[in-house]
Amino acid sequence: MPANPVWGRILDRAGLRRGMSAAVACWTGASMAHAFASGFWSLGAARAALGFGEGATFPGGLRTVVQTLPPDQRGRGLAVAYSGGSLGAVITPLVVTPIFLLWGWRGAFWFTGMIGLAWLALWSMVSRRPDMRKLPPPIEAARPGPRLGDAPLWAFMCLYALGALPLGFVLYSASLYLAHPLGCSQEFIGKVLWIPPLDWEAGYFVWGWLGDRAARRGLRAWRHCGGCSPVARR
Amino acid sequence: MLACCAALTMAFAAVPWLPNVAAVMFGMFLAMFAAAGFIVLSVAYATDVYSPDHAGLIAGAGAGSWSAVVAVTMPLFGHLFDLHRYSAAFWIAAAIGVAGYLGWLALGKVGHALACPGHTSV
Repeated sequence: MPANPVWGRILDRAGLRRGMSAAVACWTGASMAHAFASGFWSLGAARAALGFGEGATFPGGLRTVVQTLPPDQRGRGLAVAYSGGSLGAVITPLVVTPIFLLWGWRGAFWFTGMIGLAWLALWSMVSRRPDMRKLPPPIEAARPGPRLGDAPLWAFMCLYALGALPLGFVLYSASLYLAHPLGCSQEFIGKVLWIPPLDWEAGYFVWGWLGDRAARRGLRAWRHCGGCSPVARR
Repeated sequence: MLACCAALTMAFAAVPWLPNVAAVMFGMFLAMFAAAGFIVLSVAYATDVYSPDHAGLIAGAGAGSWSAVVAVTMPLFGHLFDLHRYSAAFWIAAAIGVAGYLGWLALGKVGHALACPGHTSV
Protein backbone atom coordinates (compact mmCIF):
# COMPACT_ATOMS: atom_id res chain seq x y z
CA MET A 1 0.00 0.00 0.00
CA PRO A 2 2.64 2.64 0.87
CA ALA A 3 4.89 1.34 -1.92
CA ASN A 4 2.55 2.67 -4.66
CA PRO A 5 2.99 6.40 -3.95
CA VAL A 6 6.66 5.89 -2.96
CA TRP A 7 7.48 4.30 -6.32
CA GLY A 8 5.29 6.88 -8.05
CA ARG A 9 7.41 9.67 -6.60
CA ILE A 10 10.64 7.80 -7.45
CA LEU A 11 9.52 7.27 -11.06
CA ASP A 12 8.56 10.94 -11.43
CA ARG A 13 11.93 12.06 -10.05
CA ALA A 14 14.38 9.44 -11.40
CA GLY A 15 12.58 8.72 -14.68
CA LEU A 16 10.87 5.67 -16.05
CA ARG A 17 13.97 3.82 -17.21
CA ARG A 18 15.94 3.98 -13.98
CA GLY A 19 12.91 3.80 -11.71
CA MET A 20 11.42 0.67 -13.27
CA SER A 21 14.87 -0.97 -13.45
CA ALA A 22 15.26 -0.40 -9.69
CA ALA A 23 11.74 -1.65 -8.93
CA VAL A 24 12.01 -4.84 -10.97
CA ALA A 25 15.54 -5.49 -9.65
CA CYS A 26 14.06 -5.27 -6.15
CA TRP A 27 11.22 -7.60 -7.13
CA THR A 28 13.62 -10.05 -8.81
CA GLY A 29 15.99 -10.14 -5.84
CA ALA A 30 13.06 -10.62 -3.46
CA SER A 31 11.62 -13.41 -5.59
CA MET A 32 14.93 -15.31 -5.63
CA ALA A 33 15.37 -14.67 -1.89
CA HIS A 34 12.26 -16.82 -1.27
CA ALA A 35 14.32 -19.83 -2.35
CA PHE A 36 16.65 -19.25 0.64
CA ALA A 37 13.86 -18.79 3.20
CA SER A 38 14.28 -21.05 6.18
CA GLY A 39 11.54 -19.90 8.51
CA PHE A 40 8.77 -17.43 9.26
CA TRP A 41 10.90 -14.28 9.50
CA SER A 42 13.05 -14.89 6.42
CA LEU A 43 9.97 -15.77 4.37
CA GLY A 44 8.14 -12.71 5.76
CA ALA A 45 11.05 -10.43 4.83
CA ALA A 46 11.15 -11.84 1.30
CA ARG A 47 7.37 -11.39 0.94
CA ALA A 48 7.60 -7.78 2.17
CA ALA A 49 10.40 -6.97 -0.28
CA LEU A 50 8.46 -8.62 -3.11
CA GLY A 51 5.38 -6.54 -2.26
CA PHE A 52 7.45 -3.37 -2.12
CA GLY A 53 8.90 -4.03 -5.59
CA GLU A 54 5.42 -4.77 -6.98
CA GLY A 55 4.29 -1.32 -5.85
CA ALA A 56 5.83 0.19 -8.99
CA THR A 57 3.45 -1.69 -11.29
CA PHE A 58 0.63 0.86 -11.56
CA PRO A 59 2.78 4.02 -11.36
CA GLY A 60 5.11 2.54 -14.00
CA GLY A 61 2.17 1.55 -16.21
CA LEU A 62 0.55 4.98 -16.15
CA ARG A 63 3.83 6.82 -16.55
CA THR A 64 4.70 4.72 -19.61
CA VAL A 65 1.27 5.41 -21.10
CA VAL A 66 1.35 9.21 -20.68
CA GLN A 67 4.99 9.33 -21.80
CA THR A 68 4.49 7.37 -25.02
CA LEU A 69 0.89 7.79 -26.20
CA PRO A 70 -1.19 10.79 -27.33
CA PRO A 71 -4.20 11.70 -25.13
CA ASP A 72 -6.76 10.00 -27.39
CA GLN A 73 -4.99 6.61 -27.10
CA ARG A 74 -4.23 6.64 -23.40
CA GLY A 75 -7.45 4.94 -22.30
CA ARG A 76 -6.59 1.83 -24.32
CA GLY A 77 -2.94 2.10 -23.32
CA LEU A 78 -3.98 2.17 -19.69
CA ALA A 79 -6.19 -0.87 -20.30
CA VAL A 80 -3.19 -2.80 -21.67
CA ALA A 81 -0.89 -1.68 -18.85
CA TYR A 82 -3.32 -2.27 -15.99
CA SER A 83 -4.76 -5.53 -17.31
CA GLY A 84 -1.35 -7.20 -17.06
CA GLY A 85 -1.89 -7.86 -13.36
CA SER A 86 -5.15 -9.76 -13.77
CA LEU A 87 -3.87 -11.55 -16.87
CA GLY A 88 -0.78 -12.60 -14.91
CA ALA A 89 -3.02 -13.97 -12.16
CA VAL A 90 -4.71 -16.18 -14.75
CA ILE A 91 -1.51 -17.36 -16.51
CA THR A 92 0.91 -17.75 -13.58
CA PRO A 93 -0.71 -20.81 -11.95
CA LEU A 94 -0.74 -22.57 -15.33
CA VAL A 95 2.99 -21.91 -15.85
CA VAL A 96 4.36 -22.11 -12.32
CA THR A 97 2.46 -25.18 -11.05
CA PRO A 98 4.28 -27.63 -13.40
CA ILE A 99 7.61 -26.06 -12.37
CA PHE A 100 6.66 -26.44 -8.71
CA LEU A 101 5.77 -30.10 -9.31
CA LEU A 102 9.08 -30.67 -11.13
CA TRP A 103 11.56 -28.72 -8.98
CA GLY A 104 9.64 -27.84 -5.80
CA TRP A 105 8.70 -24.46 -4.37
CA ARG A 106 12.29 -23.18 -4.23
CA GLY A 107 12.66 -23.94 -7.93
CA ALA A 108 9.41 -22.06 -8.63
CA PHE A 109 10.80 -18.93 -6.98
CA TRP A 110 14.08 -19.27 -8.90
CA PHE A 111 11.99 -19.44 -12.07
CA THR A 112 10.01 -16.25 -11.29
CA GLY A 113 13.30 -14.54 -10.44
CA MET A 114 14.66 -15.57 -13.85
CA ILE A 115 11.56 -14.05 -15.47
CA GLY A 116 12.42 -10.81 -13.65
CA LEU A 117 16.00 -10.94 -15.00
CA ALA A 118 14.70 -11.53 -18.52
CA TRP A 119 12.34 -8.56 -18.12
CA LEU A 120 15.25 -6.37 -16.97
CA ALA A 121 17.31 -7.35 -20.03
CA LEU A 122 14.37 -6.59 -22.34
CA TRP A 123 13.63 -3.31 -20.54
CA SER A 124 17.25 -2.15 -20.87
CA MET A 125 16.83 -2.38 -24.65
CA VAL A 126 13.23 -1.14 -25.03
CA SER A 127 13.58 1.82 -22.66
CA ARG A 128 16.44 3.27 -24.75
CA ARG A 129 14.09 3.97 -27.64
CA PRO A 130 13.68 7.71 -28.25
CA ASP A 131 9.88 7.47 -28.30
CA MET A 132 10.01 6.25 -24.69
CA ARG A 133 11.33 9.64 -23.63
CA LYS A 134 8.88 11.93 -25.37
CA LEU A 135 8.28 15.22 -23.64
CA PRO A 136 4.64 16.07 -22.84
CA PRO A 137 2.97 18.72 -25.03
CA PRO A 138 3.45 22.23 -23.56
CA ILE A 139 -0.25 22.56 -22.69
CA GLU A 140 0.00 19.40 -20.55
CA ALA A 141 3.39 20.25 -19.06
CA ALA A 142 2.02 23.63 -17.89
CA ARG A 143 -0.54 21.95 -15.63
CA PRO A 144 0.24 21.88 -11.91
CA GLY A 145 1.37 18.84 -9.93
CA PRO A 146 -0.82 17.26 -7.24
CA ARG A 147 -0.63 18.58 -3.70
CA LEU A 148 -2.11 16.99 -0.59
CA GLY A 149 -4.51 19.89 -0.05
CA ASP A 150 -5.96 19.79 -3.59
CA ALA A 151 -9.67 18.98 -3.76
CA PRO A 152 -9.28 17.32 -7.23
CA LEU A 153 -6.60 14.95 -5.83
CA TRP A 154 -9.00 13.83 -3.10
CA ALA A 155 -11.82 13.66 -5.64
CA PHE A 156 -9.65 11.33 -7.76
CA MET A 157 -8.70 9.11 -4.80
CA CYS A 158 -12.33 9.02 -3.66
CA LEU A 159 -13.51 7.92 -7.10
CA TYR A 160 -10.73 5.34 -7.55
CA ALA A 161 -10.58 3.87 -4.05
CA LEU A 162 -14.29 3.81 -3.17
CA GLY A 163 -15.65 3.36 -6.70
CA ALA A 164 -13.46 0.34 -7.35
CA LEU A 165 -14.01 -1.25 -3.93
CA PRO A 166 -16.48 -3.87 -5.30
CA LEU A 167 -13.52 -5.16 -7.30
CA GLY A 168 -11.69 -6.20 -4.13
CA PHE A 169 -14.92 -7.47 -2.59
CA VAL A 170 -15.59 -9.81 -5.52
CA LEU A 171 -11.97 -10.95 -5.85
CA TYR A 172 -11.70 -11.92 -2.18
CA SER A 173 -15.28 -12.93 -1.36
CA ALA A 174 -16.68 -14.56 -4.51
CA SER A 175 -15.40 -18.05 -3.64
CA LEU A 176 -16.81 -17.80 -0.09
CA TYR A 177 -20.20 -16.63 -1.35
CA LEU A 178 -20.41 -19.35 -3.98
CA ALA A 179 -19.36 -22.02 -1.45
CA HIS A 180 -21.55 -21.17 1.56
CA PRO A 181 -24.92 -19.64 0.78
CA LEU A 182 -25.06 -21.07 -2.74
CA GLY A 183 -23.54 -24.45 -1.82
CA CYS A 184 -21.26 -24.75 -4.86
CA SER A 185 -18.52 -27.41 -4.74
CA GLN A 186 -14.83 -26.44 -4.77
CA GLU A 187 -14.50 -28.18 -8.12
CA PHE A 188 -17.27 -26.02 -9.59
CA ILE A 189 -15.85 -22.85 -8.01
CA GLY A 190 -12.46 -23.66 -9.54
CA LYS A 191 -14.12 -23.83 -12.94
CA VAL A 192 -15.91 -20.45 -12.72
CA LEU A 193 -13.60 -18.32 -10.61
CA TRP A 194 -11.69 -17.06 -13.64
CA ILE A 195 -14.83 -15.28 -14.86
CA PRO A 196 -14.76 -12.21 -12.54
CA PRO A 197 -11.11 -11.31 -13.40
CA LEU A 198 -11.98 -11.70 -17.08
CA ASP A 199 -14.88 -9.24 -16.60
CA TRP A 200 -12.41 -6.88 -14.98
CA GLU A 201 -10.14 -7.15 -18.03
CA ALA A 202 -13.06 -6.56 -20.39
CA GLY A 203 -14.06 -3.50 -18.38
CA TYR A 204 -10.61 -1.95 -18.73
CA PHE A 205 -10.71 -2.28 -22.51
CA VAL A 206 -14.33 -1.18 -23.01
CA TRP A 207 -14.04 1.89 -20.76
CA GLY A 208 -10.61 2.70 -22.15
CA TRP A 209 -11.99 2.57 -25.68
CA LEU A 210 -15.01 4.70 -24.72
CA GLY A 211 -12.76 7.23 -22.98
CA ASP A 212 -10.51 7.49 -26.04
CA ARG A 213 -13.51 7.90 -28.31
CA ALA A 214 -14.78 10.72 -26.12
CA ALA A 215 -11.32 12.34 -26.11
CA ARG A 216 -11.17 12.23 -29.94
CA ARG A 217 -14.49 14.09 -30.06
CA GLY A 218 -13.19 16.69 -27.63
CA LEU A 219 -15.45 15.34 -24.91
CA ARG A 220 -14.60 14.05 -21.47
CA ALA A 221 -16.05 11.40 -19.23
CA TRP A 222 -16.76 14.23 -16.78
CA ARG A 223 -17.96 17.81 -17.11
CA HIS A 224 -16.02 20.80 -15.88
CA CYS A 225 -17.22 24.35 -15.64
CA GLY A 226 -16.57 26.61 -18.67
CA GLY A 227 -13.18 25.15 -19.61
CA CYS A 228 -11.29 26.31 -16.53
CA SER A 229 -8.95 24.06 -14.56
CA PRO A 230 -10.38 22.52 -11.40
CA VAL A 231 -7.05 23.23 -9.69
CA ALA A 232 -6.35 26.76 -8.51
CA ARG A 233 -3.21 27.99 -10.29
CA ARG A 234 -0.26 28.38 -8.02
CA MET B 1 -19.84 7.46 -18.24
CA LEU B 2 -19.11 7.74 -14.54
CA ALA B 3 -22.85 7.92 -13.79
CA CYS B 4 -23.22 4.67 -15.80
CA CYS B 5 -20.54 3.06 -13.63
CA ALA B 6 -22.38 4.21 -10.50
CA ALA B 7 -25.68 2.80 -11.80
CA LEU B 8 -24.03 -0.55 -12.61
CA THR B 9 -22.48 -0.61 -9.15
CA MET B 10 -25.91 -0.12 -7.55
CA ALA B 11 -27.08 -3.31 -9.26
CA PHE B 12 -24.43 -5.18 -7.24
CA ALA B 13 -26.58 -4.74 -4.10
CA ALA B 14 -29.18 -7.04 -5.64
CA VAL B 15 -26.82 -10.05 -5.90
CA PRO B 16 -28.03 -11.78 -2.67
CA TRP B 17 -31.58 -11.85 -4.06
CA LEU B 18 -30.59 -13.45 -7.35
CA PRO B 19 -31.99 -16.96 -7.75
CA ASN B 20 -29.13 -18.97 -9.28
CA VAL B 21 -25.37 -19.11 -9.81
CA ALA B 22 -25.54 -17.79 -13.38
CA ALA B 23 -27.41 -14.68 -12.23
CA VAL B 24 -24.96 -14.18 -9.35
CA MET B 25 -22.02 -14.41 -11.75
CA PHE B 26 -23.71 -11.83 -13.97
CA GLY B 27 -24.12 -9.53 -10.98
CA MET B 28 -20.43 -9.92 -10.22
CA PHE B 29 -19.66 -9.30 -13.88
CA LEU B 30 -21.44 -5.93 -13.67
CA ALA B 31 -19.57 -5.01 -10.48
CA MET B 32 -16.15 -5.86 -11.94
CA PHE B 33 -17.00 -4.10 -15.19
CA ALA B 34 -18.08 -0.92 -13.39
CA ALA B 35 -15.07 -0.98 -11.06
CA ALA B 36 -12.72 -1.14 -14.06
CA GLY B 37 -14.57 1.89 -15.44
CA PHE B 38 -14.05 3.82 -12.22
CA ILE B 39 -10.31 3.05 -12.38
CA VAL B 40 -9.78 3.95 -16.05
CA LEU B 41 -11.96 7.07 -15.95
CA SER B 42 -10.63 8.36 -12.62
CA VAL B 43 -7.05 8.04 -13.90
CA ALA B 44 -8.07 9.82 -17.11
CA TYR B 45 -9.59 12.59 -14.97
CA ALA B 46 -6.44 12.95 -12.85
CA THR B 47 -4.08 12.98 -15.86
CA ASP B 48 -6.31 15.62 -17.44
CA VAL B 49 -6.15 17.81 -14.34
CA TYR B 50 -2.47 17.40 -13.47
CA SER B 51 0.77 17.50 -15.42
CA PRO B 52 1.95 14.19 -16.95
CA ASP B 53 5.26 14.79 -15.16
CA HIS B 54 3.46 13.61 -12.02
CA ALA B 55 1.77 10.56 -13.56
CA GLY B 56 3.71 8.16 -11.32
CA LEU B 57 2.54 9.85 -8.14
CA ILE B 58 -1.04 10.06 -9.45
CA ALA B 59 -1.14 6.32 -10.20
CA GLY B 60 0.53 5.59 -6.86
CA ALA B 61 -1.99 7.70 -4.97
CA GLY B 62 -4.88 5.93 -6.70
CA ALA B 63 -3.60 2.38 -6.23
CA GLY B 64 -2.41 3.09 -2.68
CA SER B 65 -5.74 4.60 -1.62
CA TRP B 66 -7.62 1.63 -3.12
CA SER B 67 -5.40 -0.81 -1.22
CA ALA B 68 -5.99 1.17 1.99
CA VAL B 69 -9.78 1.09 1.57
CA VAL B 70 -9.70 -2.66 0.80
CA ALA B 71 -7.48 -3.30 3.85
CA VAL B 72 -9.91 -1.40 6.09
CA THR B 73 -13.17 -2.82 4.71
CA MET B 74 -12.37 -6.49 4.02
CA PRO B 75 -12.29 -7.47 7.72
CA LEU B 76 -15.77 -5.92 8.04
CA PHE B 77 -17.03 -7.90 5.05
CA GLY B 78 -15.41 -11.05 6.43
CA HIS B 79 -17.19 -10.51 9.75
CA LEU B 80 -20.54 -10.02 7.99
CA PHE B 81 -19.93 -13.24 6.04
CA ASP B 82 -19.19 -15.07 9.30
CA LEU B 83 -22.56 -13.84 10.61
CA HIS B 84 -24.23 -14.98 7.33
CA ARG B 85 -25.34 -11.37 6.72
CA TYR B 86 -24.55 -11.56 3.02
CA SER B 87 -27.15 -9.02 1.90
CA ALA B 88 -25.70 -6.41 4.28
CA ALA B 89 -22.19 -7.07 2.91
CA PHE B 90 -23.30 -6.63 -0.70
CA TRP B 91 -25.33 -3.53 0.14
CA ILE B 92 -22.40 -1.90 1.91
CA ALA B 93 -19.98 -2.73 -0.93
CA ALA B 94 -22.37 -1.27 -3.51
CA ALA B 95 -23.08 1.79 -1.36
CA ILE B 96 -19.35 2.49 -0.91
CA GLY B 97 -18.89 2.28 -4.69
CA VAL B 98 -21.69 4.79 -5.31
CA ALA B 99 -20.39 6.97 -2.45
CA GLY B 100 -17.09 7.19 -4.35
CA TYR B 101 -18.90 8.71 -7.30
CA LEU B 102 -20.91 11.11 -5.12
CA GLY B 103 -17.78 12.07 -3.19
CA TRP B 104 -16.01 12.81 -6.47
CA LEU B 105 -18.92 15.05 -7.53
CA ALA B 106 -18.87 16.92 -4.22
CA LEU B 107 -15.07 17.32 -4.08
CA GLY B 108 -15.04 18.34 -7.75
CA LYS B 109 -17.47 21.14 -6.90
CA VAL B 110 -15.21 22.28 -4.07
CA GLY B 111 -12.20 22.31 -6.43
CA HIS B 112 -14.09 24.32 -9.03
CA ALA B 113 -15.46 26.74 -6.49
CA LEU B 114 -11.91 27.44 -5.27
CA ALA B 115 -10.35 27.62 -8.74
CA CYS B 116 -12.98 29.65 -10.60
CA PRO B 117 -15.59 31.18 -8.30
CA GLY B 118 -17.45 32.76 -11.22
CA HIS B 119 -18.54 29.45 -12.76
CA THR B 120 -21.07 26.87 -11.76
CA SER B 121 -19.36 23.50 -11.56
CA VAL B 122 -19.69 19.81 -12.45
